[in-house]
Amino acid sequence: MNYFLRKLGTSLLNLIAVVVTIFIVLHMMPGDIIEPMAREEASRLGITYEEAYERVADRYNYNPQEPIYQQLVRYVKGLLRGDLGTSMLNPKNTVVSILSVALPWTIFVVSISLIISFILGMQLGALMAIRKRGIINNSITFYVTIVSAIPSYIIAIILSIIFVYQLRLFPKSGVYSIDVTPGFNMPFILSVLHYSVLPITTYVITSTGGWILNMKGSSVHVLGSDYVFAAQARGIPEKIIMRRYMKKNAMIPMITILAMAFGGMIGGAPLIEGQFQYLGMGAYLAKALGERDFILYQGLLLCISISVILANLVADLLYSKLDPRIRLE
Amino acid sequence: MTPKNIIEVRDLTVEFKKPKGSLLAVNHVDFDLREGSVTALVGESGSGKTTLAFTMLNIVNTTGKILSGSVNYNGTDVLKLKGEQLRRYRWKEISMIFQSAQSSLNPLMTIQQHFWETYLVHEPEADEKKVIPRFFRLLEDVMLDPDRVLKLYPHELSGGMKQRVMIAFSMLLSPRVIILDEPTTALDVITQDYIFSILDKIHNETGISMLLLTHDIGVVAKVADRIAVMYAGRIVEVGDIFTVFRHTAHPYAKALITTAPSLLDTDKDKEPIKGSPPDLIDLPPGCAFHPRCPYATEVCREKCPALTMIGEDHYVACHNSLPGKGAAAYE
Amino acid sequence: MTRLLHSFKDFFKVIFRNRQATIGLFILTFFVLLATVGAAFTPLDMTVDYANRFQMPSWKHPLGTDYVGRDILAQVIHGSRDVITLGVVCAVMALGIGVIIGSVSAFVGGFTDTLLSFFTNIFLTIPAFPLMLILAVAFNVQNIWAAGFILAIVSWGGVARVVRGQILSLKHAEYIIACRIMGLKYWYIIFKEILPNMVSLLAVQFIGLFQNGIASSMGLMMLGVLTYRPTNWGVMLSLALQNTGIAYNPKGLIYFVTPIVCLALLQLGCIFFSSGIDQALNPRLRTE
Ligand SMILES: Nc1ncnc2c1ncn2[C@@H]1O[C@H](COP(=O)(O)OP(=O)(O)OP(=O)(O)O)[C@@H](O)[C@H]1O
Ligand SMILES: [Mg+2]
Repeated sequence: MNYFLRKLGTSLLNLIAVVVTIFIVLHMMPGDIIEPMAREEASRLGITYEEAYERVADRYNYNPQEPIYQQLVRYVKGLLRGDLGTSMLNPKNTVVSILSVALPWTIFVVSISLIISFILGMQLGALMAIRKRGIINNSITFYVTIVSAIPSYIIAIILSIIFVYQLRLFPKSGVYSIDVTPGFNMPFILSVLHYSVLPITTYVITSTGGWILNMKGSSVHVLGSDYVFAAQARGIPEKIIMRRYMKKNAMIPMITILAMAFGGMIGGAPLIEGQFQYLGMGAYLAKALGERDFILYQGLLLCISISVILANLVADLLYSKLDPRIRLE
Repeated sequence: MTPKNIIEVRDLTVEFKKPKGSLLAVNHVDFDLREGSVTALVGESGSGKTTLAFTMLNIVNTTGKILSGSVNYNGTDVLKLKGEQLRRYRWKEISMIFQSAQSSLNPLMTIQQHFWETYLVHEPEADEKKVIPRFFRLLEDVMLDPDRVLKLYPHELSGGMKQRVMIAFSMLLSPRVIILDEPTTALDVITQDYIFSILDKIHNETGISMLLLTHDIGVVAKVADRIAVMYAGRIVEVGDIFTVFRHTAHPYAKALITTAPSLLDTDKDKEPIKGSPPDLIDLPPGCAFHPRCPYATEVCREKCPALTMIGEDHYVACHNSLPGKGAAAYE
Repeated sequence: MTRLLHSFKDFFKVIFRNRQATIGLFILTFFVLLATVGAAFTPLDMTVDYANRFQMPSWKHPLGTDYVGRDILAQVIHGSRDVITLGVVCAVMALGIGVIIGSVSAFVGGFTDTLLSFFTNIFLTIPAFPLMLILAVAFNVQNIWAAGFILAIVSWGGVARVVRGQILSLKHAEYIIACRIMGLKYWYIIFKEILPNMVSLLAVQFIGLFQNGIASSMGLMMLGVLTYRPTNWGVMLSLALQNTGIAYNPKGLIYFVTPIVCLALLQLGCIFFSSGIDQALNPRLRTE
């Protein structure tokens, strides 16, 4: 079967499974979250409790009194219409509208961080494999050991204490300054960059270590392979061997880890974005959790899961592009 | 007139350090490769053939170290070459088809990219358009369809095709010597024959010198004109193929030749070599072969025999080269 | 029994030959002692003593006092018990789930394998931390067992995948096939041949789970969803952030830094120990 179609099929199945799983998790929630809202609405509008319940349930597209399969059908139907319900705290905000505000920032920060840390990791990892000892190697090893021992949220805390509160170099919250008008203009772009420096730095500091280690292992493996030896026998200059033989081959297995790394970074967003009050998915997740806004939380969780699935798909495509052993068709 | 040697190896020793001790994979070896000859280097697995061949390109496996000796190619000591000089020497003067030929191509490059890359690093002025006809000719010489093969990636080639691509590849810069390390081990018998007929043709047309490493005596008889037998890192017998086959002087060489299938089918001599292959880390004193040698005497246990001439173009390292068969036959 | 003792001895011999593993083991042992012996001999007094808040280190308070005058050292020591127990509970549960699912998947094969692998994949797709958060709220976690269970639920996926892969490759290894040909019992093969070969893999996985469990649990505490005991390092850290005005108050620094240093040290111990074990027990790495 066509490689791409097969991957697409797997992703779709995965998507369905994820939707169901998240649905189930959310419905394990004890108590009836609709009930108090229905009571309140019934007394406020002077309608019967049943009627109010119906209205509230419709608004959130969630009725815990229905049998579970019916709830699932209702939920999936909503999804297909692009309806994820509304925030439980502020019914005027649909989940989709919150997503459309929050998602781009998270994707922006995470992808930039991923690209920077990936490139850094590839270079440094390959360097470590080539020079087995030396000051550079030792300092990289030291760095990797230290950052792998400190969770990312602690790095975020430390960075924010130093750079936001002590030095006041970066803003306390938000994604761009209120003084600029969004659009394709220099002040806006600069402001966006300014606001994103610390989250990006945090991600880069913490995830580069893993890339370095992985790339080093992979490079050492490739360096021991027959084709590198054979290339030396053909009089190919070391520089070319390092670039065309070692780095390229060593990077291929790294591609498969990309999506997982993406998922890990997005998963850590509630703490990191929360710390910098950078208003992306993570900050909203933390907020929704704090306010027990489960419907919003469900939508956000679903959305980041979908972006992980998409990232997987992209990684698979990239992999097949780079490795001729896997043919697109 | 004495024939010219294109490669002269003198007193060469290569050491591998292992956790248990050091190991001399090549042990004070003297060896000549005659210009224009097809020389076979035979010996059991682990006897040091590949290691010896590698030194001719001045490449040693990561952990190996050349302790002594020289490898003279056309008057220059290859082991003293460094950097750019060494880089240009490799493949241009001597090329090699590795034992692991099946995996000696970069999985991410097409055959054409391989050929062009190697050509370019040796001829920086070259123009790809102009050399492609050359790639075509080389591949046609090994009976492959250049149009198709050049575009393929290594994993898309069958084992036999890969081997032939490697042969064409080794001829890319018209080297004067080509080393073939067990070029047919992974292949079926028919493909083996096919490969050897191609090699034979190339040899006849270009007069290139070939060094064939193998443990298959049957192959040697078919294609080689000289033979060197290696045992535990040492050359134990060298000579012209007919002389060595007819007057085999070293007991090990004798055993190797007589136990070969389909050759000299005389049942009475056909018994496998007794004993187990030597442990290179802990070699027996004296001649390394003595524990397995039916003719071993006192001196064999004490002194390592030197390679000495016992006939015209026939050298052997044995204290009592086979009585009545080897040295005696000349008398 | 003697054989067991022997392999135990061998194990430590191998560990002590590796410097990293030795350091790692030393650190881990230190924390385990801290959590058991240390906690038993250190009285914990959580009464508020406002007059003595933010004290500098002294004989009475080796690490000073926190924002309401409680001894920091005693808190950290008692917290270590909590942290380590939680890490172990999480690691045991996740390893259990992962090993069962992974090995059933590999041994039974066929449709079961497809189904279980698919199931595993779901848990590898949904970002772990947010899932953990919502589970912790949904189950209203109030004790260590529940917390460990939540952590385990989101982290067994990797184990299952690795175990499955390892068993599949062992299943086709020549010596296992030889065992089958010799007619050895299935269970015998599993316990005598396959499991011993996975010891280093499982040990490394266990430490990884322990390490991640601790880091994530502290993250959960920072977001206020696991707050059942104030001495836990994560709770200390989040209290330090909320109550000391740490960004401008250098006096609160010790209270803020202590749990971080402890966490980092413990993580470092795990990293050293597991990479040491890997080097020592993994025959592929050992040969070089
Ligand atoms: N990279 C290496 N590291 C350590 N020891 C090596 C290495 N390469 C070769 N040796 C040792 O050197 C000895 C000679 O090996 P070599 O590969 O030259 O033998 P060979 O005659 O080519 O054998 P084969 O017929 O199996 O190819 C062997 O004992 C081997 O163990
Ligand atoms: Mg060899």
